[in-house]
Amino acid sequence: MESRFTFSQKLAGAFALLVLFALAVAAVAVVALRDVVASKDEVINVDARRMALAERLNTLSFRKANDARAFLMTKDGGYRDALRATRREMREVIETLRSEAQTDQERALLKAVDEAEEAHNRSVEAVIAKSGGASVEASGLQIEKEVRPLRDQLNRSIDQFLAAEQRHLDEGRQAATDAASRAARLVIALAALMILLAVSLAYFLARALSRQISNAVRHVQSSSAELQAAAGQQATGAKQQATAMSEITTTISELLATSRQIAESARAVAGIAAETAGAARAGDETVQRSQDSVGSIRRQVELIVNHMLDLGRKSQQIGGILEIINELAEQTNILAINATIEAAGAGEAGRRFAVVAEEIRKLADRVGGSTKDIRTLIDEVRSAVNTTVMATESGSKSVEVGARHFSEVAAAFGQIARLVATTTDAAREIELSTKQQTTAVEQVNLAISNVAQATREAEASSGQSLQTASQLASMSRDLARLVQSQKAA
Amino acid sequence: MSASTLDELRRAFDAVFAVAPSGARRLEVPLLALRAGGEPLAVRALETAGLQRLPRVVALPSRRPEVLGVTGWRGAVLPVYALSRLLGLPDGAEPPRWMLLCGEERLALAFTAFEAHVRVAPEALEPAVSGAARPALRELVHLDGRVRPVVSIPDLLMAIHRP
Repeated sequence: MESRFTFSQKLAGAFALLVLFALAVAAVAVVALRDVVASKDEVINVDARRMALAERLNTLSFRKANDARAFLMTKDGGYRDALRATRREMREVIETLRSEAQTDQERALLKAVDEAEEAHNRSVEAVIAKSGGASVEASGLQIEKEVRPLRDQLNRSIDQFLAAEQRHLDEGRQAATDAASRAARLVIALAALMILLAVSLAYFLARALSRQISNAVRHVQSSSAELQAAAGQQATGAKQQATAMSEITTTISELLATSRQIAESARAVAGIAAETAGAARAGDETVQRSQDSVGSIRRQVELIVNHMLDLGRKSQQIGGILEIINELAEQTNILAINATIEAAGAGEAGRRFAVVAEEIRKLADRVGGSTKDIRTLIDEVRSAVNTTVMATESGSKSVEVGARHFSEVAAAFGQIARLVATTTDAAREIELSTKQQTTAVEQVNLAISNVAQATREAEASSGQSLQTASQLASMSRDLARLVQSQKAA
Repeated sequence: MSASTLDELRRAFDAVFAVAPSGARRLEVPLLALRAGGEPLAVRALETAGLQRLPRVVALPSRRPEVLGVTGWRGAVLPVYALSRLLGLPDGAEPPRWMLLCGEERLALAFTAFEAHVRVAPEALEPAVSGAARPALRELVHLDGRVRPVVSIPDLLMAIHRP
């Protein structure tokens, strides 16, 4: 129910139901009232009129009798005319009553009244007719004798008719009263039913609405609490934001000053970069010349290395030759030793030969010693050559490395020149950009000032929001208390 | 070899023949300084028949461990003895590369290295104290500040031919 119908739908439905029921009650009341009114109209229009006519009839009867007595006593023709007018009127009343008779009893009673009146009238007319010559007393006696019974008969008939009409009137009144009572009871019952329905609807509506309102109030309570917390946070955040905005404004001002300083520095850098580009181009030319010199040195060093290697190879060949000389000296030495031995075996004849052999041996020894010295020297020379070759190769490599470094330096100078040109352009761009940045920072400063103002306003509005949220929370608590008290009640 | 060294050699060589031979020189003993089995030794040069590099030695089975084999020399086949083994010395690390030719017996004594040919005065030779233990080493000689046993080739040949 809660999910299908809204609060207003429920109220509208309940009121519509009550209105429908009220319309039904009203319709029933109207019908009952019309019935009662019809019944009363019947009583008033028909029965009371007939009763009145009956009373009229009674009155006319008495008037006719009086008129008759007055004529008889006075012999005044007016009374006779009045008598006859009264009789006509009485006939008319009887005819009217007859034409409106509803029951056989009424018709029978009217017939009796009619006959009694006819009889009475004949009797009266007869007395009147005879009264011209008779005295008052005789007329009186004749009336008492002849007319009086008829008149009594007429009066009894009229009385019976009156009693019947009275009963009929009473019955009609009673029927109307009964109808009114039934209508009243029906209306009372419907009203009671309507009250019961209204009470039930009020109870169910109150219950449903109170539950719905309670839920809504709980939601409102939690939402207002959250809103309060959020508003508090927002207020705190707005304060912090205002503080931050103030700091940002200060920082932006500093940034503005720094941007102007950067623009000035960029202009100075552009000038220095242009000077550096000129110096780099001069250095590049110097490095190119140095590179040519290094190439020449490298070629010379390669020539030296080749010569030293050739020297090493030749000293190696000298070593080989020296090896042969050494072996020859050794062989000579051995030959000299053997010659000495052989000379000793030859005795005295070989003594001089022994001397020669000894000298040859000594010579061979000295040659062997000299070859050792030469070998030492050659080894030293080869070692020196090797060291020189290695040093030269190392130098050559160093020269190559130097040449490569020169190439790299030349390339670096070229790159420096290009980079300096780029730096010059970049410095000019930086100068331009910094000017633009300065303008932008000024605009940002202005915007930040506006934002700071907006932040202060936001801080004020967040405080207002917090106050509103607090009021809403208080209202939701009051509403919750109200709903709970209603539920408790 | 520089020109001055060559001139010096030539002058020394010529000077020997320019002066009269001295008597004292005749008495000097020619010695061959060598090494056998790692031991420095000396041999009287005139006790040998010659000094040569050791040619290829063909090993032969023998009752005597001193015999290394035979080798050819000037059309003759010579038995080769290890000098170190004949003297009761260890063989040493290096193989023998030289040989001494010995007298009429026509045999060769192999040794490791030939070091020098020297001439010493007779008084430089002195008898060895341990001569009884090694009969072939009866003398000692001082060469270059070192004492060398002097091998007696005749005693060694007697020991070889002793049954």
